[in-house]
Amino acid sequence: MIWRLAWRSVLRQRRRTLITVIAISLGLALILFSVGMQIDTHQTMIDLGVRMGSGHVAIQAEGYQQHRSLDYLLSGSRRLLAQLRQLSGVRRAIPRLEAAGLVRAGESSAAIAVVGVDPSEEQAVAGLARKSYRRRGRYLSADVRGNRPADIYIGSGLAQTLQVGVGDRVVLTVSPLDDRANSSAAFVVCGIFRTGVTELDSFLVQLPLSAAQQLLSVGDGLTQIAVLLEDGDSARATAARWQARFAAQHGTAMRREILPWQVTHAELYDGLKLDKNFNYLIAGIIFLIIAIGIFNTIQMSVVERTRQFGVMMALGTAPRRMFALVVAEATLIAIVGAIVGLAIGLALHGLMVRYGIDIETMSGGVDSYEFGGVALTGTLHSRLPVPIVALWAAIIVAITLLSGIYPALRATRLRPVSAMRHS
Amino acid sequence: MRYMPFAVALAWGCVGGAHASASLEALIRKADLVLRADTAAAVIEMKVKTSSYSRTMKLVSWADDRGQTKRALIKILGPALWRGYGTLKIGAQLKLYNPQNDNVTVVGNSMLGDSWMGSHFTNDDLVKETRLASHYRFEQVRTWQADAPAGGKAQYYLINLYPKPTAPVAWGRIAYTLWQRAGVVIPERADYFRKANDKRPQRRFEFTNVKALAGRLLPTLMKATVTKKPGEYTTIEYKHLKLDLKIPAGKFTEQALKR
Amino acid sequence: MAQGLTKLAWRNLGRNRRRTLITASALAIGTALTIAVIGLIDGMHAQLIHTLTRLDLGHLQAHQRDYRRTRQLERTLPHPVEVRRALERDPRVVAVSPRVHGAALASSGRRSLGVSLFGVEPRSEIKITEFHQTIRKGRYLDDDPTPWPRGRALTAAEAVDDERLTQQAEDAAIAEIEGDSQSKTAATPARQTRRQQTQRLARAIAPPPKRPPRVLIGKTLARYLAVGIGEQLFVSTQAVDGTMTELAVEVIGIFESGTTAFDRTRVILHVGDLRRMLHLDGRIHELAAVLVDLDRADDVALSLAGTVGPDVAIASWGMIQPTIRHVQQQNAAGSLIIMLVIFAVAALGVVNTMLMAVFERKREIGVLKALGMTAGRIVRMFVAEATLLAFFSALAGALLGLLLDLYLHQHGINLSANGKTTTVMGIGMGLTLRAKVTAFGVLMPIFVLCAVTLLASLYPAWRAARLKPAQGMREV
Repeated sequence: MIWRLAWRSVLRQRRRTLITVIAISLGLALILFSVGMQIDTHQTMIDLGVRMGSGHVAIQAEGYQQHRSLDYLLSGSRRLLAQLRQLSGVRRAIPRLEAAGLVRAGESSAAIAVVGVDPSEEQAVAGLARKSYRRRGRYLSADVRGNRPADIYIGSGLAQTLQVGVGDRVVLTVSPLDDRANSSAAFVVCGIFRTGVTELDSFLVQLPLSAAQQLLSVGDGLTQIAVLLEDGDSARATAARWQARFAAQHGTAMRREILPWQVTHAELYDGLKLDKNFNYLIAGIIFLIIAIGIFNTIQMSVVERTRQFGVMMALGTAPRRMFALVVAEATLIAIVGAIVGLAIGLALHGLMVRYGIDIETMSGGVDSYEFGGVALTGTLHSRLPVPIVALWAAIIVAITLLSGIYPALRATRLRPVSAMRHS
Repeated sequence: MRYMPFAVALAWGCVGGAHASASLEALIRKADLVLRADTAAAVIEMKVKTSSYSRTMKLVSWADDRGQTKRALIKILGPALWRGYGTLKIGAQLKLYNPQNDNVTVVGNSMLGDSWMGSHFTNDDLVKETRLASHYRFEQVRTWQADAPAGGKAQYYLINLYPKPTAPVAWGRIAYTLWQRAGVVIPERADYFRKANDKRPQRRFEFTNVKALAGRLLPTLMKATVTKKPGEYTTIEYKHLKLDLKIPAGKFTEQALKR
Repeated sequence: MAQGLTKLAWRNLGRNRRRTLITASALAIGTALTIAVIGLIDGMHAQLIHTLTRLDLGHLQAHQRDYRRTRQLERTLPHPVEVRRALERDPRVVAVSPRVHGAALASSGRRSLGVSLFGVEPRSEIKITEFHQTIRKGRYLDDDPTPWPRGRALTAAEAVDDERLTQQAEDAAIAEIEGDSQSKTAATPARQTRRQQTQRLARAIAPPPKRPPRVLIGKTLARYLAVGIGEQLFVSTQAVDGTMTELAVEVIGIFESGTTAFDRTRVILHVGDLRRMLHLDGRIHELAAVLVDLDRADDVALSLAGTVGPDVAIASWGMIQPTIRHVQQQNAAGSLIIMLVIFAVAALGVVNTMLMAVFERKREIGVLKALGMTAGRIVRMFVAEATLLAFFSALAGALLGLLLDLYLHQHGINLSANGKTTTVMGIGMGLTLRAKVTAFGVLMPIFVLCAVTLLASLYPAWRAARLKPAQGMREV
């Protein structure tokens, strides 16, 4: 009964309803669009960051995070890797061995960070190894033989400093931990990457893990195992759980630090948090304005219908029912607005999923955008999990309802006689 | 392979051939003979000329190339500002001694790119074991007759040295000129190319002042130039040389470095 | 006529005061919050530029032509005195400070770390960068460099001595090489005196400082090397002439700039001290300047470039770090889109309200039309209403926005829970985000508000103008 009445009065002011619905749906669509883009961007950045960097969870010898030196080697790494790979929830366990070194080609040399990696693992993980970063050549080959130099994968900045291209030889010198007797070996540039992050492009090289271990004479030692989880959101909890389990198993005899990406990639984490808060702020503004608009519309419709309400009251309609009527009207507008907003928002989302926005166009000719130590390249898409869509739609309905409450209360406070006198 | 005092060997990077074609191998082996010794000690004069300074230093160098770990010690004899500075190389480890504050620094990789005593050699050059024989393969480019610096006609050879696949050398090619006369082979020039097919070398070593020293005929002056820095050079000249000598015990220790 | 229109519009707006107020408040709040958001975005850019200019570059820098590309020690600024004078003479320049850069290995105990040495002139540097304000423990550098006697050339007698010492050392070396046992036994005492004499001569040429030079280091470095105020660390670096210098320095201040890279790798010391360590004599690598207007740095750089000779390169912060411009452009585009959507939503509210007003006043408009009011005038009447609405909303919004901005400027937003700063395009963001008020950031939302409101009023106005006089009357 109330719904039919509400529906009728909403339809009576077709144009006004339409405009209100447009405002709601426009707001919702924009929010869905920006949230979708943001979720995708953030997920992409986290995903990229952890793939290139320390995984969702990093396992290191205690102290490595602070000192970054070969004095803090992860022992028993082979068994640890095998164990990790059997754990449920672990997507990949990536061995890494990092050290400082000097790379030289002819007269030119550069100080760099050397990372020994498992090439097939890295290709599966698609961090720095991903194709979109590759400018030239190919990725590392795992095939390390004594009779030819192992591969080295270098950044475009370094390639420029050293004046080398794919197929060129370079000599890498590192200081193994024992007595800092330097050890050198020749490598052949197999490929050149460009990520847009200077720290990587100019100061990082990758080698096959076995070659790095041999060069650094660390046996099967690693500096880090980066773990990719099935569920990246559980990084903190997983790290804490593992740390506790490890402590229970080994006591204080062997110390390891098990850190979630929020710690190992603190810059990225803070950056994303900042960006998210900006988006919430903007969503808040839009909602506030929508709320005011809806408030005004409903208020007007109540005032307009003062006489009608007066008559209804005089005929014995309970104030509660009057209140319900106005709220029902607001609800209808909200639902229609939400549905249209969802339709537009999801259509935009669909477009973005399909086509996306090219970073190069967006940032005016720069092909990557660095933020928090991760460079985005290629095309940004949209990602909208159902709960998020439902949440924002619910928020907008709730806000519409809230905006209807005051005018609804006003309707109940009308006095029948004076109300009827109202022109 | 056995070497000369390493201050020279680092530049020379000579020579010996196990896998070369037979005649070239013999040639380079002979050139190597000129410079080869199990142990060596020398007094050397080093001149450095750069755009911002020029200096002359006297230094004494001891080298022991027997065994797996090559060892060498260099002490600066003068002038005053550098007298007592020392460099000790044990295998791939390099230690620098500064007498002004009695401090020994182990050269880690962050310092490898630094210049050694202000010369055109880097610490890295000193650390690296450059073994032409095991690190390069040879290819004769041409051979001709010309007047030898020591007088008379000599047979000249220009040989290209290409790094073997896994050799830890950062050069693509070395063009090595040497001459042979009366059974003696003397190096004359080595051009270091960044890539095998580069036209311009990045570095050049020239060997001159061929004369008898320590009972051998050998070039006693070596000049290093870098193409990128025209007008600059470092020269190394033997003032005194003794080969296959008995090196005093404890020569390659930190105490000796500081002494 | 126009005045009459305004009066009419004013009266119309006053007729339904509550509605007007609510509509206006939507616009005003939209304006205010947009101003605040733009303030925060501008604040972020300002922060990035601030980090860049006031913790590192200054607004403008002069170098030897190839220095920035090669970073080679020997590429020092030609004619530093003249260039400095030329910069200082320019009225657009506020302050100029000379600098020397070096790289070193800093060590303490077993720990060592590669650091960058940053030699500054303490008195003028405080006008360029703000490291002195970020000192958490200890104090800033002294105005004067460490007392460090000047070296001198050896006297003729000393030179002879030196040659003799070299000769003696050579003789001893040859004797040892030749296995002359006699001189070997005699060598030890002779070596001792040679060493003392050498020390004396070397100190005449290059005397050591009277006390360890004083340095400022970042918090992270201090923690890593485990050194505190008053404690020493060793710095080893290679001087421009290739000599290795190892020197004990004393930490007198520990700073926390909020930019991870600086806090971890920067060692700040007196330019005079660093010059001595690097054997640079009177040479410097860089002159950094702060300008009256940092936004005009490019112009100043370009105009000064012609006056200092071909060997000197003058570049603005924007030329040295162009990436920050991309961030700015991109965020500007982003905030424009957001602003447009916000105001579009607000404008829909305006359309709604005004349409309602049109229908409420159907009768009245009918009468006016019947009395011969033209459609154009009716349109103008409604547009005038919208203009007034926009004007007052903008006024209120701007006021509120400014207040918000001021609050966000005063208090800021904490960006980092764990003390690490995030980077954008490689530049540190600082720990707190503060809003920045700019004329553009305030006027732009006002402009967009007015434009959007006026546009929004056109449709209701057009509907009103289309009403037929008779149609209007019939409703009575």
